[in-house]
Amino acid sequence: MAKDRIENNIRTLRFMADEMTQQELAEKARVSRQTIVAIEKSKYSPSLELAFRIAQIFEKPLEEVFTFFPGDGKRKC
Amino acid sequence: MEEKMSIQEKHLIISIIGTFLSYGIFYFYALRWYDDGTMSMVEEMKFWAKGLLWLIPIQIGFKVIPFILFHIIHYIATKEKADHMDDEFGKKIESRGNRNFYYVFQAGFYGAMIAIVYEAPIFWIFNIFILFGFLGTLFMDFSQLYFYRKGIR
Repeated sequence: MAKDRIENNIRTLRFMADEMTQQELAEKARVSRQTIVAIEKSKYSPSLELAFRIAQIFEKPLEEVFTFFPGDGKRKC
Repeated sequence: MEEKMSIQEKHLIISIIGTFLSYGIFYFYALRWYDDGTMSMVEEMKFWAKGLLWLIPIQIGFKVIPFILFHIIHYIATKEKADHMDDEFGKKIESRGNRNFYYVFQAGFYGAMIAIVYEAPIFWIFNIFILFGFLGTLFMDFSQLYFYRKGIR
């Protein structure tokens, strides 16, 4: 059975936010740069708390930053 | 393009080297001082129990001190702060690494129990513990390296 996955637009949002670096975003989100790298590459799905924190940094609603794809392949939000 | 190694991965490489060095030093001295011909069973148990206790400061020496030196040198060389290494991603990876350590160590524990049941020499009972402690530590560090590279979903 296919697994649920979460994708994100962090790379694009960083670019639009004056080319914010991964390190800068990490410092603002209070996580390590490695965590931002993993989230950007969809290698790690952040906790709800961290996801909200990242969305807040970009001043975007959560669904504009993260997109949930359930196992059946249909995009939910 | 090959990804640059993160500070967490470098940390784990130092830990792996520290594990090899500390167990290497431990066995270098333990096997030199071990005399199976003259020791009674109680003396032999005491010898290996003392050895296991000695392993703690040896590991501190070969792991904690290099970590401190690494962070100082790394900061001077890259000016990159090692902040938030224990964030949620790091903690999740660490807990998976610890879980893997316990799987291996548990196997060693049962192995040692089987050795006792079959009346194996004290040497083997203690060395099964030590060997599986070593393998468990390596498995823990290598699995954490793997999770930092491949991620956790």
